[in-house]
Amino acid sequence: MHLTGRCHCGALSASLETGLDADAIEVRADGCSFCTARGVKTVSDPHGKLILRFDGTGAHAYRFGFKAADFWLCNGCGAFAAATTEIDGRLFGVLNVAGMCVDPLAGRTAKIVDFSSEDPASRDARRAARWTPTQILR
Amino acid sequence: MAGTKTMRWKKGGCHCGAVAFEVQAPDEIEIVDCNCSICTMTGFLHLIVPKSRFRLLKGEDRLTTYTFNTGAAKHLFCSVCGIKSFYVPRSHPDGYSVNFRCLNPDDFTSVMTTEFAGKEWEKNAGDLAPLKEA
Repeated sequence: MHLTGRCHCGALSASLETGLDADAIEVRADGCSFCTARGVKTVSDPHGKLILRFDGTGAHAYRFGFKAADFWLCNGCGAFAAATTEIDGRLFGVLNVAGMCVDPLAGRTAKIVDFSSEDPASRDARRAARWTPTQILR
Repeated sequence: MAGTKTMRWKKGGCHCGAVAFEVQAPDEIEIVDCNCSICTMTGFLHLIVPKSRFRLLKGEDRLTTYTFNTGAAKHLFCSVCGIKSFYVPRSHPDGYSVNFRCLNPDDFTSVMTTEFAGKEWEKNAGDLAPLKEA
């Protein structure tokens, strides 16, 4: 399956190639301060491929907390497209299906998850195991 | 008991701290959850107040303005963290819409959420109440 989405102004786009059916994709909200402030809903598939494309006004990365991930924001409309992190030279990401209006997942109720007690090693292991191999084009 | 509620100034802001504001609101509030494209994409929950009940404390130089369609709404977001903590809504250009997600929920004793079908804005705009000073 090929899921696609764009930010509001259209400068950022995303495509997620996945072998999962839409119903089998878990939509998550992690309850962190950043995600809560904008109603983020993320998805990933470790066996899929996420491609982020930054055109037009482009995007910039915002980091907070342990600064272990880049939160990609549209310079034109402020949308949060995806978070990425590099682990052992490979880029992994989660896609914000709400911010990129990815149908049919954007309207799904997100499962609340809490990673606030993780140590850095556990966090990297989880992301490497669960986030999607990612490529950024710009 | 509309009109008899005590108003208090409550602080809010973006995620990185560059933008900070105060909004005067009662402890019991009604907010609006709109299903239009940009509100859905930003997760915006509206607490709409007259301009007299809003003070920008810092960050004016960090705000980026985004407009679309009629251009009437001024969508303001922090250029650092991207958070849209308040903006000038098309429905109430004489006021501000504050993002409830950017306020401290502990500052409120009751929050009632009303859904608004902003996908059909022109058809439903009349459902939004006009602003009151208090």
